[in-house]
Amino acid sequence: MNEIIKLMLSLSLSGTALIILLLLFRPLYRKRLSRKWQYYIWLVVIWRLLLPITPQTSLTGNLILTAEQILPGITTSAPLPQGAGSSSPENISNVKSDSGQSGRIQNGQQPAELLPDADTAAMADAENAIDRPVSAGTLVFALWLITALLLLMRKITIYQSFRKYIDAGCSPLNDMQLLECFGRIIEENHIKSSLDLYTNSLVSSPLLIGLFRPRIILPDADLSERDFYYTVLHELVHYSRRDMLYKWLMQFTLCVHWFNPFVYLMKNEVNQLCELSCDERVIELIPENARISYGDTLLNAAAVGGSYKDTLASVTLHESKELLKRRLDAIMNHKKFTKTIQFITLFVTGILVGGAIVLGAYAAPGSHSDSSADSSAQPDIPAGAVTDQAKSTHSNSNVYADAVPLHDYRIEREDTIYYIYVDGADETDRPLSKVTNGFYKLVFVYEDRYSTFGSFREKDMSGLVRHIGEQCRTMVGNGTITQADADFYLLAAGDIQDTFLTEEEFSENEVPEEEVPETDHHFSVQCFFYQHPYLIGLCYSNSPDRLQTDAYSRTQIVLSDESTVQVYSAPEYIPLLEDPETQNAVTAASSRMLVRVDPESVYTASIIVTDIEYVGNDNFPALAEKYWETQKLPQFSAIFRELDSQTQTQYLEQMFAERNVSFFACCIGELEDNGIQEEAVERYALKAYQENVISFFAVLIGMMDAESKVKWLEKCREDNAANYLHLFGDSADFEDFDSFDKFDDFDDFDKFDKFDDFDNFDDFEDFDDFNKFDDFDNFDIFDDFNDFDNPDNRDAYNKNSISKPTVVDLNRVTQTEVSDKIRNALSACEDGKWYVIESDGCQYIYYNGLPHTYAYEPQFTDSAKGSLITVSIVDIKSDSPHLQRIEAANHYVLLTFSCTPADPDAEYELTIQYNHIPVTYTRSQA
Amino acid sequence: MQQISDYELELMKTIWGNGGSALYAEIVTALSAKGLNWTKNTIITLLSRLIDKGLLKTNKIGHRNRYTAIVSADEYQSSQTETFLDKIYEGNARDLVATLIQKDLLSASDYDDLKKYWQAVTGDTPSDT
Repeated sequence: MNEIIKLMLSLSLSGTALIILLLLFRPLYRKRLSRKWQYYIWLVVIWRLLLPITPQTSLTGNLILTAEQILPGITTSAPLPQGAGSSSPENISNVKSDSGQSGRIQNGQQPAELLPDADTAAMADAENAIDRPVSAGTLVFALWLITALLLLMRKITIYQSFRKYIDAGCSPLNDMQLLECFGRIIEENHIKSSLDLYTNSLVSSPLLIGLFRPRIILPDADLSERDFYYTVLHELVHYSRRDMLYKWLMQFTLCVHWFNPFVYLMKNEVNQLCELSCDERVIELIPENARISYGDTLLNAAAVGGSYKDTLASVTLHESKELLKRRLDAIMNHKKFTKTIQFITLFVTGILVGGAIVLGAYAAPGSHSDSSADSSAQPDIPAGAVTDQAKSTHSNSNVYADAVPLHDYRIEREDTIYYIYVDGADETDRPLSKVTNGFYKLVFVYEDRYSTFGSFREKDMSGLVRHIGEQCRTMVGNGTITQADADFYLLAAGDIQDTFLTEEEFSENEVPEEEVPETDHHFSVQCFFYQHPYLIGLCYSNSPDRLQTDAYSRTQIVLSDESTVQVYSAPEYIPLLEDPETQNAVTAASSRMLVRVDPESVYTASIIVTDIEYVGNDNFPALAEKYWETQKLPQFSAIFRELDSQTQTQYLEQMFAERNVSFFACCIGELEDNGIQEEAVERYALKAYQENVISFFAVLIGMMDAESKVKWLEKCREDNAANYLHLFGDSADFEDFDSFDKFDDFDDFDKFDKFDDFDNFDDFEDFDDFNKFDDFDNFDIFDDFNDFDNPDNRDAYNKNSISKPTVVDLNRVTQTEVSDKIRNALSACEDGKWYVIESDGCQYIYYNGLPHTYAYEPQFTDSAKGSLITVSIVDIKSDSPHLQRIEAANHYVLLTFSCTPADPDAEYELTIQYNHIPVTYTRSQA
Repeated sequence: MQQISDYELELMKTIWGNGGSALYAEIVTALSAKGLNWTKNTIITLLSRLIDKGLLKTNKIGHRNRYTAIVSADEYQSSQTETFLDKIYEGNARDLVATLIQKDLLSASDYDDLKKYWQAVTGDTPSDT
């Protein structure tokens, strides 16, 4: 029983750590990473909270073990006063004695294990428990279990009651038009099961309910076609992603971890993300200029409906004013996510999963006991080499060994592997060892374990002692080995180094090639600096642990502000770095690197020197020429920095003329960060716009300040350069979207009360009914909308439209505002029919007899034959906030329409749509 | 018996027309023959509503569903007639017949047929007394 409590606590702790981590970093990733990721990443946390899978040692597990040792009475079966108090020391000594049996410990990572020894420990507990009838541990366990079960039952009953209540007030939707529309949407989205559609005036917002016989419930069926479409689409996305399962999973987690307040925070966060990621998905499915309409739908939905809401059991269209605002913002700022973002996303996910594993859980002690080191950090030096208690039999546990270590050893060489058999170990104890061709390795073989050092290249072997010395220093430093061990290793290394030097003269074969060893080393942010007389290439390392095992040399350099930083260099530069002049250059370059790229942003702070090239003279123009000819961008940009502004301008011109975007992008950023750069950016932006090279324009946008961006945005809007307009979506701090001012005025959110209590506990609903519908049975888990990822029209438009944009002028006018001529023409029109009347080069769109007020907007499509301009006219409900935009409520449509096509010889075609349905119109002259 | 919508009635008619029982595919064919090309979701939704209302039952035959009418066309007709009579004529059948005659909904030959039928059922002959 006890063990389970410890397990729960450890799971809760680990989970909490992850929750705090995610919530803490939320401001960083909230706007940058996809909401879909943000929504699903919490599954990692839930996994950590619910599944008792852990590596044998883990942070949390050790925490609890330590707690046990410090407070022996607390977590073990503390007996009530009647029992003997001998259980605690027993438990601890169990831990110690078991550790003596560490068998053959493998090289590399410990496998993650389920809890094999909770059984043995539990049995031991049970034995103890027989003596003590009721212990505090069991009480706590019972308390936790009962509360969890109660909570779970309560949630289920509340849900059922809610269902009953809703079902009672539901009426099936009979409007065939809406039903058919619904059916079509389902087919379009490849959803295989059927859903029913109901209305119920008691619900506060459209919702999806029911796991086996899913249905969508609308508060009000009197929606505009567009609202209906978006609402239904939103709910269907919820359905196909099985969001309700996720919600129930979350509720289950809440029940299990009811005592942990952070889990409730997580629930709220996930609920919000549920809606946000659903919106994100919906936006991907609808055309881009429909986003505002979608936002309107959300608003309209908020205005309608009863007072009944349940966050527990249903998935609603919206949940609170704050969330709604966030959702609307997110809708407008949605952008495609670049490869970098995707990479970062994966990276962060990996960190989180890794963190979850490392945090681990409590695993009952019993089998292998280990040191705290996570053995994956140094694959060549297994944890086995550093076992603590197991070495108690050896006499050299003296940490301050100044004497020669007392080991017996014998060295044997096989090919390029040196085996050092220690204290009587022999070939039978030796591990299967391999090394890359041409590289050397040292394997210290003990009777019960082994340690490996390597791989070394042949030319490193003459410095073997130094290399091993460095590695040993680190390991002693972090407690992996003792100083005595280190001394011993050095001694043996010394022997080998000596023999190697003598053997070297005799070995003519086996000359390894001058290749850089195969590293899985990851670099990031490479940057070159000209630091007389060298051109120095630096980068940040993404795998600092490789730096320990690979033969990188390390120095610490002191910066001007007296702080130090670790700088590693690739092995070939080690001799170069002996020279003080070189060192100074590297130091200076490193300082510049730290200023230029904040190490915090790349998760690690180890600088690596990747290149040192001696260039000698200061003849920058010649150097620039050389790197320009060979198109070596990193080196070129380093030199570019040093050129005079006239030369820089010349190069920029040339890059622009030759459309060399990569060079241009790099170098324009290197201009002096004062007026010069600003002016150049503006100048080239204009050129890029005029010459229609959108790639350059995109680069330059990224370098403008907010003011200039706004000006350009206005200009692009005026010119209706839709493909350019997309670029502005990238700026997160872009405030100028006036259509959203009205969202702040939305006050009427009283109806969003939390659902608390429901008293009518009725019978359990019979789920058997669903068996009869085979069409319902094919619940392809997680239907994907993949088929929907066809290239949209808008993408095609971007690729095709490289000409100047078409300008369309579309304005509402009233009958009093037009000339007599037009008015006469209007009076000749029949009611209920659409007309396009042309007069003096301008066209008028007219229709008499609308049932509602309306909104209108032009839409463009370009095709090979010319432009297709669609004027879309849509009914609006009378209480929609849109109404404020319309000065007078009209029941006739009268719009002036004029169009200036990009290409004067090209034609354009005018289509009119009313509520998304094309209408036929009659043309006449006035 | 619960009221059903016009569309649900169409569905029932197709099933009645198929002998009181039909496979899903047969229903779809019958509907499109009538010019009703509803989406799959609509059809299934209406069918499940009918089942809820107790007019249909369904069972699986292999992979496919068979829908069987629990209420026959006649039963439905008479039930609806009763409802109609109660609602509109407050149970007074004579007024209904009167309306039928007045509105020429009942032709003279229909009337003769009815008279014969009535006699056959009750075994009465119209007397002059």
